Amino acid sequence: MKHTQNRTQKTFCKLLFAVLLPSVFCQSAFADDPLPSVMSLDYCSDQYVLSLADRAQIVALSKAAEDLYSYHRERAKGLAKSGSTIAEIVIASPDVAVQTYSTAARMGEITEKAGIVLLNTSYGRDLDTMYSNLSMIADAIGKQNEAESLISDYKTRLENIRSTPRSDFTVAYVTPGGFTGGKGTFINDIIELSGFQSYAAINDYNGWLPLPLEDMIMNPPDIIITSFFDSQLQNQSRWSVSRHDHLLNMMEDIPTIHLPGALMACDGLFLIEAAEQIRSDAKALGVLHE
Amino acid sequence: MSRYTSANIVLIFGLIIVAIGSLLYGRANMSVMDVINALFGGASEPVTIIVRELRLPRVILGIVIGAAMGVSGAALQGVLRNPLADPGVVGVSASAALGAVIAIHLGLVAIWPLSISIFAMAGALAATAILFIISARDSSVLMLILVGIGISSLAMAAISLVMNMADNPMSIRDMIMWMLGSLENRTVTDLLLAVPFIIIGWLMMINIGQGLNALSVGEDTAQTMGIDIKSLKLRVVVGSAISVGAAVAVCGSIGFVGLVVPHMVRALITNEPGRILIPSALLGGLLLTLADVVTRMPILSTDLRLGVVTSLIGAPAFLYIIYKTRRTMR
Repeated sequence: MKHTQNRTQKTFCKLLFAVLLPSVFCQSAFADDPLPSVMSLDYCSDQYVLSLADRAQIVALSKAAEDLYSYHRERAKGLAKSGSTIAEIVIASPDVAVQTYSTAARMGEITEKAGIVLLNTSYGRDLDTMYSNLSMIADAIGKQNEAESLISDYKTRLENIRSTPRSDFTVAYVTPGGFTGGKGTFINDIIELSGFQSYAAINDYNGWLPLPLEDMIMNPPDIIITSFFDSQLQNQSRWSVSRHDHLLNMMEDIPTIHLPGALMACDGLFLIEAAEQIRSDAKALGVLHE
Repeated sequence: MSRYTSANIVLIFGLIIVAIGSLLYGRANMSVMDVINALFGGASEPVTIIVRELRLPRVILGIVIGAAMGVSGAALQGVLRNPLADPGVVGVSASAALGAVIAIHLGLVAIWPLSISIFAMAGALAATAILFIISARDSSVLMLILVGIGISSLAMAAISLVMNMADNPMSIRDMIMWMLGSLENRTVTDLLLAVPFIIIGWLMMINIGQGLNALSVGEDTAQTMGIDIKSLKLRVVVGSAISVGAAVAVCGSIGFVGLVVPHMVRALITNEPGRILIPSALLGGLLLTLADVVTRMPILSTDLRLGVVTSLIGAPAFLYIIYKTRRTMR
C-alpha cells in the first residue's frame, strides 16, 4: 500500500515536473528576453523615448537631449548621445530608431537594409497626434502599458483644465524672434486651453507672423506670454520686435509669463504642461482667480 | 534760380513728402493731423508712442543713412575717379558686417544689447585704420581700390568661416538678415548710436567740393591748383568709412545706394564732382526712405528686407544709367 502510494506520488511529481518545467523554462526565457533597443535621432523624438523607454533600452539619444529646450533633459543625463548620422545609427544597430525631423538622405533605405525599424513621428501639433506618436513608439519598443498610462493621465489632466472657469483676459504670445502664433497654431490652442482669450485670435491673426507692435500699443493685451527667452536670448533676433524698447517696457508693465522654451520646442508635445504652467503662473501673478 | 538750386529744392520737398508718407504708413491707420499732433503734442498716448517711438526713429535713420551712403558714394567716386567706387569698395561694409556676425556668433547680445552695433562699428574702424595706414604711405587710386577689395574679400571669408562654425540655425538666420539689411524695429537708441559717428564722418568731408572738382582734371593739375591730394583722399576715405560703418552698425549691409545715387544725380542734375555731394545726400535719403516704405507693403507673405529692395531698384537703374551714359564713360 505504502509502495503504491509512493509510486503514485512519484508519478504525480513526474507529471507536475513535466507540466511545470516548460512553463518555468519559458517564463525564465521571457524574463531574460530584452525589450527592443531604441535610438532617437532628434530632441523631439528624445522626449517620446525618454517618456516611455527603460534606460537600458536606450542605445543613444540626440546630441540636443540635454539642451535647455529639451523637456526631459534631466532624464537624458548619463545616456549616450549621437550625431544621428546614418553611419552612427548603423554602427549602434538599435532595433528601433525614432525621428521627427532629422531626415538624412537615404535614411529609410539604409536603416531598412540594416534591419532597423525606423519610426517617423508627426509633429505633435495636437493631442491626438501626440497620443498616436506615443502609441506607435510604445508598440515598437514593448511599452504599451506605459503609453496607455501616460495617455490616460493626459486625458484626465485635460478634463481637469477644461472644467476650470475661463477668464476674459486676453493673452498675447511673443518669441525672442518677435513672432506670435495666430489661429491654427499650437500656441493659440495652448492659450485657449489655459482658459484665456487669445489676443492673436481676437485680432484675426492667422498662422505665425511677426507680432504687430502697433496693434499692441493701440490695444494692449492683459497678459503677455513669452517662451525661449530662457534658452535663446543670446539669439534674440537683432531685427525682431522683441528687442524694441517699447515692448520691453510693456513686458514690465503688463503681467508677463515666461514659459520655458522646453515646453514649446516640439510644437504641442507638452501642450497640457504648458497650459497648466500658464494657469499656475497666472494665479501667482494675481491675474487668475479660482 | 539755377537748375542746381531748383533740383535741390525739389529733392527736399520729395524727401519731406516721402518722410510724411513713411510716418503715415503702418498697421495703425492715422491721418496727417494725427501724425502732426503726435509730433508736436496733443495726440492720444498710443498714437504718440507709435509715431515718436516706432515710426520716427525709422524715418530719421532712413534719411540719415541714405544720405551718408549717397554722400560717401559721391565723394569716393570723385576722389578715386572711379565710377564703380562705393562704400563697399573700400571694404568698410564687409568689415562692419564681420564685426556684427562675430558678435551674433558669440551671443554677446545676452550680455549687452548694443554689442552687435559696437562690434560692427569696431569692424568698420579696423578697416578704416588699415586704409588709413596704407593710404598714408601710398595714396594712389589703384592701391586704395586694391586694398579695399582685399579687405572686403578677407572680411567675406571670415564671415563664411563664422557661419560655417555656427551651430544654431537662429544665429545663422540673424547673420543672413544682417547681410540683407533692414530698418525694422530700429529704436531711438540705434539712432543715438549711429548719428554722432555719421556726423563725424560728414564733418571730415566738409569743403571737399573744390578738391573733387580740381581732381577731376587729374592729380597733377589739382596739385598745381594748391590741392593737398593726400589729405583730401584721407578725409574722404576715413570720413566715408566712419559714417558708413556707423550706418551698417545699426541697419546691416545695404547695397547699391552709394553706387547708384551719384550716377542718378549726374544723369539728372550735374556732372560736377564737388556739386553732386548735396543732391546725392538728399536723393540717398529719399530713396532709402522710399525703399523702407516698400519693405512694409504686403507684397509677399513676409516682409522684404531693405537691402533686397535697394538692390532690386538699384541694379536695373544702374544698368540703365550705364547704358545711357556709355559714351561719356569711355
